[in-house]
Amino acid sequence: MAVTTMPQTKSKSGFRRSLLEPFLDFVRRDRLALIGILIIVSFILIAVFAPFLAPHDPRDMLRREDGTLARLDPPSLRHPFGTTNLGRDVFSQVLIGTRAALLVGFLAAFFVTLIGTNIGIIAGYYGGWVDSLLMRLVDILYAIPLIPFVIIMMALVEPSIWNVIWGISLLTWRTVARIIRSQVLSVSQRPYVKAARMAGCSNFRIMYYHIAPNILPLALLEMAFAVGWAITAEASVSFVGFGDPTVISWGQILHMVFLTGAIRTAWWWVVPPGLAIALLLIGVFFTARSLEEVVNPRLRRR
Amino acid sequence: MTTANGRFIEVKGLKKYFPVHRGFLDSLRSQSKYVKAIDDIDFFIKRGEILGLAGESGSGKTTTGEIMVRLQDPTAGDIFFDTINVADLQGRQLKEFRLRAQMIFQDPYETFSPRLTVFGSIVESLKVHRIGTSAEKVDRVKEALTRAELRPAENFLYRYPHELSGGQRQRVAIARAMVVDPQFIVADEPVSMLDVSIRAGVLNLLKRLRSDFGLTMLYVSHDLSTVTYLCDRQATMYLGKIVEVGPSKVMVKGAHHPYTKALFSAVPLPNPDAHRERTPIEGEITGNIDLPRGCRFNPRCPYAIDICFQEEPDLVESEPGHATACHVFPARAD
Repeated sequence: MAVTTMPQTKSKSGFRRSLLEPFLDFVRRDRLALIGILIIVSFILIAVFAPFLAPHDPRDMLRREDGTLARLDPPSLRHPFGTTNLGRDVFSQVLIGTRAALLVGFLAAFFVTLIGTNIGIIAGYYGGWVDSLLMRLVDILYAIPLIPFVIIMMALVEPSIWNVIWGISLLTWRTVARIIRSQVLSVSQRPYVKAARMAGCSNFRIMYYHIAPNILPLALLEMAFAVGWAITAEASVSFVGFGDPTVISWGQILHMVFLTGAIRTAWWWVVPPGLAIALLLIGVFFTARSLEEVVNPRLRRR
Repeated sequence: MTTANGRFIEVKGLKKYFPVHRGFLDSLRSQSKYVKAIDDIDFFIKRGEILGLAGESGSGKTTTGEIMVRLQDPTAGDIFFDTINVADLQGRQLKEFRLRAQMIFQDPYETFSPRLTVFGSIVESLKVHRIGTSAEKVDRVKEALTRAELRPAENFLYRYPHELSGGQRQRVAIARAMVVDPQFIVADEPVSMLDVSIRAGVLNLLKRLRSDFGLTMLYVSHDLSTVTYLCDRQATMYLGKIVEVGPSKVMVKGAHHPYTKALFSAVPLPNPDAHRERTPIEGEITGNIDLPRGCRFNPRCPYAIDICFQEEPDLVESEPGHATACHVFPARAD
């Protein structure tokens, strides 16, 4: 029996060899990829340990030693990023805000990839009217701009972080679907797909056992890019004030600065969340870029 | 419908037309044109026989092979397999047919999913058809590898295709076809992408499988030297038609159709000083959308006479079992 379980463990190691190992090799040589991964890992650690790292409750209205409300205090040892107009600690808010960014980024990217990959496989494999129908749907979705779409969705349903995730997922899968479809068109003409049909495999088994593993690297790459889009979209939607009011996110912090008019004076309230967004996006795109070079070796020659 | 006189597989009036899409407006005008990949062919294969199907790319030989194992659906025609017509099997019956007819593909590099081990690729049929327990599956895969002369089988089970040579891969492909104990195998150019040095080994393996298991085979190739080596009978295809069919031994000595002759004269001879009559044909295979009037080989035929541009020749037997579709050859008595 031990023998029969071997293919599975082996195929995992095959996967490791074919994707993760060249990726790690690449990271070792490519400084930018290393920086990107370090940035993402740091943000994940911050998000996980945010409640322990934050010196204050991000919603507490803090007072100075003389008992007055710590309104718009500039950065100090007690408040590394200063305070808001209501005496809240910006540093703590930025730390907690990492959670919203990563939650939206990773979950939306996961759903985007899940929907997009499935639609892409079905369209590319079946072809014909199924393909035409799904790709025309993608065309229609391409005509809808992402951020207004999410804003309108938030306005129609209740603004919650889950609806932001759904809003992003429902629209952004279009890109993944189109890219996966084109790859499936090519993969499904390979002789090994004919061989699978000769073995008597059902269409479902051909699509998910024989084709899907061979487009997995591309799907993962698209997922990495989707993380970037999702973070941007969440920040934008929150900045214009349609985000989840109960969740502290970087966009939300920027929204409050703007709303109170402190954006011109309290630079310490503006710069940290802005830099956090930019830094996380840089990390994501550096990683995605190196992943892309692993998936598509032709890019390496540039 | 039982096929008489030892004919195990009999193909009648087989056609495969692919519609040509030229654009949206043309499709409205409903002037659909077709590529006639296979244009009404008949042939049979006896039990335990290897039939060769030769021709250039575009002659329809691969399409014929794929239709025989129902990888593609025929546009028209019947394929009698033993006693059943498999031309329009669907669903479960088609799945069961996969246990009786298998295929070996041309490209040993693309014929395996890079993410499956040798075991994973071969066991797939057994899994899909729910044959045997886990232990029995392993045994059957090992047996298939042994039959394909990959010994010891244990050394190959858990290797990935990229770790194997072209010849080994083609043997694994043979093992994959053999694992379900099929009665009929279509081998589509199984050696064309292999080094010459290992071709003979694979061809001999196919011969041995035929004699050991009584396999019936359709061997598709553009290379007449391998066709003649392996096959009992062979058919030449040109633009979707069979232009000549006969026993290999007879055809290698005296092919009648100018096209078959040209294919034979393209086979290199081992003796560099040997001279032989060459049949010169020019150009490439013409498109099979707008076929020429008369014989479809007439644009390239050095012997074409008036009637070749008027009437399409039928396959006519010149001696038992040897038929040619040509107005000029063999020289007719009348």
